[in-house]
Amino acid sequence: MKLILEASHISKSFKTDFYKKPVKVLNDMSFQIHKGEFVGLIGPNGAGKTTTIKCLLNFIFPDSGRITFENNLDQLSWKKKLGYLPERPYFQEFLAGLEFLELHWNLAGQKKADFVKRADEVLKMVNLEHAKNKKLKDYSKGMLQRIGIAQAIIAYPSFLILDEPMSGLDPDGRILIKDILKKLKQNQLSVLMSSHLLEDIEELCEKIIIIHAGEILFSGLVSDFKKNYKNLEEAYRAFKKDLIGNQS
Amino acid sequence: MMNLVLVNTQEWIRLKFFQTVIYLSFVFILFSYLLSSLSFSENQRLIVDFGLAGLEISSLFVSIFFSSYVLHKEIERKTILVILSRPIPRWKIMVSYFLSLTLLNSLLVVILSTTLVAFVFKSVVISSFIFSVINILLKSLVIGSVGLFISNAARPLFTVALVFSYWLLAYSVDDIQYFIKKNQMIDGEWLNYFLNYTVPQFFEFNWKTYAFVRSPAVLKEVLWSIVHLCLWIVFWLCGASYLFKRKQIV
Repeated sequence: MKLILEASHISKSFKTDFYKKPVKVLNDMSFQIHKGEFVGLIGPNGAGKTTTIKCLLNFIFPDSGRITFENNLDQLSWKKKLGYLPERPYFQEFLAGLEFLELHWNLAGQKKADFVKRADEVLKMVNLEHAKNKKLKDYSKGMLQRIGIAQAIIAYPSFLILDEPMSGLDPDGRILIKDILKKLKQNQLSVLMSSHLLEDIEELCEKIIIIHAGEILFSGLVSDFKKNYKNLEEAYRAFKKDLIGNQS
Repeated sequence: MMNLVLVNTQEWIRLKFFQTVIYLSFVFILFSYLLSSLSFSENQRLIVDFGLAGLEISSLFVSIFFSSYVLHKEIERKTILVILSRPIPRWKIMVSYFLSLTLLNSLLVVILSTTLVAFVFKSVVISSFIFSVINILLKSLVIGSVGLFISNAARPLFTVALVFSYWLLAYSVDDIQYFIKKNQMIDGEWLNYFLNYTVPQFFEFNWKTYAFVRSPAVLKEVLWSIVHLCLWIVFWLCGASYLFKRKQIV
């Protein structure tokens, strides 16, 4: 399978204050994502999930290690093929849904003439055709999350990074987002999704990466991880129990 | 990039802060008009001096607050994250902030100077008046680019304080240098040198006066002021772009 993203030996430390010692947030992390893979990033709060994502997107710079996208090191060229949805995003609320998508279409360097057709496709996919002329300030939380996904996929990305896409949504909102993500999966898009919700990860992802204190504890197929257990949650509980047992 | 510029400008125009600045500046100009009626011979001078001072203060306020808060606000609300995930070099984002500020201040300056000139058009040389207004705009943009530079490394309130101090310094360089010259206790050669190369010489182009706008401007001086201020803008904007390129968006 074609290699899409490769992170090798990523380490990152932060200084919380001038006089304090740096705290290691990521420690020698390596993983790969191939074409069409839907990968879940799991870990407790503060494990380093968002930091990993920020390193991948070059928002923060790793102390060491290398990140390549389709074997390409140049961030600007590979960002053309990337979509991203941050956790609990805020969008310019005075823009209408369609204007917001147009902004991101233009920022992605796409041709203006093709926008209307693509916007219709994407709005249909996220079930927001009825609200395309509504201002974002009048959108519900679930609608904002869906328009967020729409901006992430509008410029035909081949790789998506979603940071907690289901966080803070009601059950209906979660179902809607999951349905959209399932549609994306059918389109052979590679996705890296961080989440606390194990049942969602189990339903959507075929691969997981478990992070704890900045280190990868498991990276592999969901089916391998939960093979002796009823579901992912049970397997995760047993895994954590073993981990705590080994540490003590 | 122009999309970003327009979105940022729209966002700031909608802020109560910007609307309040425009409103207060109007009040200031009207006040100067009322005040001028108290004088028999100097009423035009009062309107022009007060009006242009109001124009400079309001554009300064917009510059300081926009440049100090824009980046901080975008990081806090995470709007910058989605923009940074797009294939745009970071320097272009910094330049887009600067262009938004330029648009905002130009809008402010055009509205207020048109109002002001309606009261005084008979007694001023319009070309000099325009040069004076351009001078005010460019000074506010220098301050804005300094603000963008500092805001990469400091919190907004601290940036506001530093940028305001820088503006005061730019108007007082000659006073400070005079003080250094007269004071035998200080070996001021290095300080003079430092001030000359780190602070723009705003005091040399203090053209927000009736005396300046009532007579034709000397073109050479005008051109020199434009070049001087534009170079300072480029200097600080390059610095701001460099810092932003290295900034970690945590």
